[in-house]
This record gives sequence, structure tokens and C-alpha cells, in this order.
Amino acid sequence: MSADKETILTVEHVIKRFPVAEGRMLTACDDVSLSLYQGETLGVVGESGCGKSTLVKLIMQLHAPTSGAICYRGEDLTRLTGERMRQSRRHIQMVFQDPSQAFNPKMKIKDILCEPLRNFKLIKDREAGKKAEELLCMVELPEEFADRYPGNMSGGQRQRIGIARALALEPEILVCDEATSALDVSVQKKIIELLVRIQREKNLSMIFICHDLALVSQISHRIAVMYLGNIVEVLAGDVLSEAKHPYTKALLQAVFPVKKKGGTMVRSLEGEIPSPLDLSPGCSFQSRCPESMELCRREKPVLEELWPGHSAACHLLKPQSGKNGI
Amino acid sequence: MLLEVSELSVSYGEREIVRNVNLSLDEGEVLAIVGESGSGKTTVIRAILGCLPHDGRVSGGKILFEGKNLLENTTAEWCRLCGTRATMVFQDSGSILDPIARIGSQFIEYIREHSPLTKKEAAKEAEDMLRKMHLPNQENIMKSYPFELSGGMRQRVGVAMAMVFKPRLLLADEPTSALDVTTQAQVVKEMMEICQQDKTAIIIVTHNIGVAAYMSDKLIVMQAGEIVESGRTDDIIARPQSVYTKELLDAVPQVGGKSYVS
Repeated sequence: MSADKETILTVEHVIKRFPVAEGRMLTACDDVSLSLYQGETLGVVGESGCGKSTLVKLIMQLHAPTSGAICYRGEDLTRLTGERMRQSRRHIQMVFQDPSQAFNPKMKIKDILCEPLRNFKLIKDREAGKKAEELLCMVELPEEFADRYPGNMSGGQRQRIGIARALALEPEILVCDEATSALDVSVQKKIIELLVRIQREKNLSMIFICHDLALVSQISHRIAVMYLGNIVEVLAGDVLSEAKHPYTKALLQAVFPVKKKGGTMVRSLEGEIPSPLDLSPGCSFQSRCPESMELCRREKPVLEELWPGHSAACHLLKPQSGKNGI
Repeated sequence: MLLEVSELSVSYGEREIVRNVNLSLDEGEVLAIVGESGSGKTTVIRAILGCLPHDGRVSGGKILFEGKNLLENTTAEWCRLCGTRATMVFQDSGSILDPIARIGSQFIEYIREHSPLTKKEAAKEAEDMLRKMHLPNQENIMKSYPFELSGGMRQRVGVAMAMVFKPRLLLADEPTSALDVTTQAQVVKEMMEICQQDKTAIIIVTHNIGVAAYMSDKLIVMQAGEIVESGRTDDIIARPQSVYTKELLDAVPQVGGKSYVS
């Protein structure tokens, strides 16, 4: 399915370490590789602290990676500087988690929406009102909202403004960092429907960061599961329930489905997510994995393709041929 | 009947936020209240425990707990009730803990406030409770400050504190909403286990309908300050009657549900 699609963004062996007290390093992203295809939604899931948001900030060039490359249409964004870097930002735009904090409360909606365009000198002042109305129309809000302030809007309406602002520059990639997590389920559903519609119309590529597995499985073409700075499994969205990696399976078992009481067994993972400060060698999931073996403590598994469209990083799932000679 | 709330109305200033809420709870039963933000679910349980914020007040109705109308309680009676026979778990237990006192000293202080135990006995009691919540290294936790624990651990400490006097009624206000799925599963299961042991009745307020369905015997769906549907959880999930409940259930994402993109 993805083979005939055009790759638009690749993340290649990106490592991000943050210095912390006493000269130690915190590894937030540990050798992450990903690719995003044109018109596709890539969901990224994982628990808090797994490095999802750091990955987004790296893609948005808000952090520079310690090593590795992030290529947009073949151009390594991490090597750009100055005006070329600024221009490159037009292609990747972001929707933030908390719509109440993402805007300047003293700016009118029409100024918020046209700010990105003004920044790149793509709009004249007299055109601003009309453009704002167009953008409002795209996110299904009434035109009168142009003269309002973000303070007197509901959470869902504000998130629509967030999406409209992100799309003002007509980017090719939209990054949503927990864009619906602060909303009620019914509002969330409407925002998702809006995003899916806009994606179809504009052939937009999306990276959708979320901790709700069920939601991610319903809106993503592909899903990347992260644990402790590593991508442990990549698979198609509609087959999430057939995940193979022990961590993904554990995550799935921890979701409470809307079913009759006692309709399903909900199992929880033992222990806490280890600190990313002192990572032990071997597999990142070894301390909580129910099936951990001696090999897992010695050697870190790499992300390998199990079959087309489904890869996992786990020693248990190694293809029988034993590529690495183990 | 352990708790019986009839025709409860709550106002903040002049505005009536909750209208005509009726609910009842038997010993050991679990009731879940679901609804969107602003539907008044938290207000209902805060009214039951007499802790409405600011200018909130009960403007009508009755709250009978073990046969006594709580609305006629004196301050001294509230003090005897809250924290022992009726307790509450909040969304973020970190914010009820004193940030500059160790878990142990707060826990012991709390136990001794409500009982004649000595410091040593109270410490043992506290450690036993932490063990019951499956927290590892109870001694270490007793010596830790709240910020040294993860969100999930703090929440389990909150539940342990709420359950130490084997209350008849536990009110839980979004106890797992700030947690990851794996931690949420852990906290929910441990809370259920400990309440079943002590035959504690629970009212859980949540917007996670999956959690509500898993935990509760009875379910109440609220919208804009009123109950739109109430009954046995299984019945409502299987055959929702009101349009609003249907929409709400329909909006919940499900693993393996209809894909938006294929």
C-alpha cells in the first residue's frame, strides 16, 4: 500500500540527548527512524515520557537533534540556517494540544489567522479580512468569528482556529501534538472529522501524536509505537489489534473498551516506566516485558520488517533465518 | 440504602448549575457518573461531601447518608464523617499532598487526626495500606516527598489514604484522567480490589466511558446539569435510550472501530 506512495519526510537515525545535572545525559529519542508518505496520517503513540513530543519538536526544528537527519523532500532540514531555515518552516505546520494557551489573548481571530501569512509577506493588509473568512469557512466556523477574541470561544472552536492557522500557509505536513486530548469525546469526534476531510481535500500528510490508542487506530494509515525514546513497532492503523510487540500488546490490553461490565479482561503492566537517565544496555522494554529473555538484557533489538507494512523491534519476533547471526 | 440523593439542586451564586438529581447507592455498589465537561458531574459529588467551592450551595433537595440528612450537618459532624466514613479521591492526588512534607508524615498525621493510634501504630497502618495498593518499597515511599513519586504512584497514595479507615463511601473525581493507559488500568484495578475487600460503595465521576463501564453497576449520564439517563450500566451500554447517550457512546473511539481514513 505504501510502496507506491511518494515519501515526503524522513527521519533518519535521529538521536536527541538533553544534558541534566551532574553531567548526565537524558536520552529522549534514541535512534529514531521514520518516514511519512504524501497524503498519509502517521499516528505516534506511547506513554508520557516516551519521547513523542521531543520527536515532534525535532521535526518542527524547535530542537536540533544530537545526531541524525530530518529530510523534507530530500533536503536535510537540520543543516539549514538563517533565511533558508525560516522558509523551510512553511511546509511543516503544527497544531498544539491546549487551544486555550496557543493564542495571544489580545489578538483578534482574523489577525491570529493571518499572522503566518504576514510573516512570509504573502498577504496585503486589505486582503486579510477576506482570507480570514476563507480560513474560517474551511474549518466550518461562521465568518463573524473573525472579529472575536480567543477568550470568548469554546475549546472545540479554538482548536478549529488552531487548525485554520496551521493551514494558512498551505503546508504539506501538519503535525498535531495531542490536538484533541483536551477536548470532550463528542467535540473530539467533530475535530477528527474535520481533519480527515481537510486531509482528503488537500492531500495533506499528517503526523498525529496521541496517547489514545483507540483514536489513533481509527484515524491513522500507519501507527508508530514509541517506548522510552525508541520506536518499537510500526504497523497499519486498521490492524493495531494484531500488534506483535509485547509493549504494544500490553498497551492494548490496558484500554478499557465500552462494553458490558467484565466483558473483557483488562490487564496492566507491572512496574513503572524506567528513567531515561540511566538506560541499561539491551532492549528498552526488558524491565517490564513479561517475555524478557537473557538476550534482551544483552543486546538491543533493531526495528526490522516482519512482513511488508509491519515492523517491530523485538528479539522474540526475529525472522527465523536469523539475519544477525544469532 | 447507604446513600440517597433526592431532587438535588446546586447553585453558584444566582445560577442553578445542577437540577433535580436523584440517585441511590447500596453498600458496596459502584455508581459511575459520565458526561462532558461542564455537565455538573463533579458538582454533584462535591455537594454530597459538603465541599462545594466558592459561592456554591445546595439550593434544594435532600442527601441522606446512612439515614441522616447531610445538609443539616454541623461542622463537627462533617469532621467526623469526612475522611473516615466518606472519603474522596481527586484527579491529581499530588495537589492534596503537602509538597514540603514527606508522604509518611502526612499519612501518619492524617491517621492520627481521626483515631487514637500512636505514631508507630499509625506508621504501620500506613505502610500496610501502601502494600495493599501494591506499591513497592513502602518504606521508601513513606520517606519520599510527593514530587519524587510518579503521577501514578501519587494517585495510588491518594487512594491508600482515602481507604485507610475502610470508608462506607468513596467518591472519586476523575481519579485516572491524568494517567497513561497502563497506569490507569493499574489504579482502576487496585481501587476496585480494595473497595471490594472492604465493601466500600463508590461513586466515580469520569469522562472515560470505558472506565465507567468496567467499574460500575449503575450508570448516570449527565448533560447541562441534569440527568439524561440512569440505570444498570449493562443496560445503558447495550441499549441506550436517550439521543444524547447514543451520541456520547458513538463518539468514543474504539480499537478496531470504524476507520476514518480507509
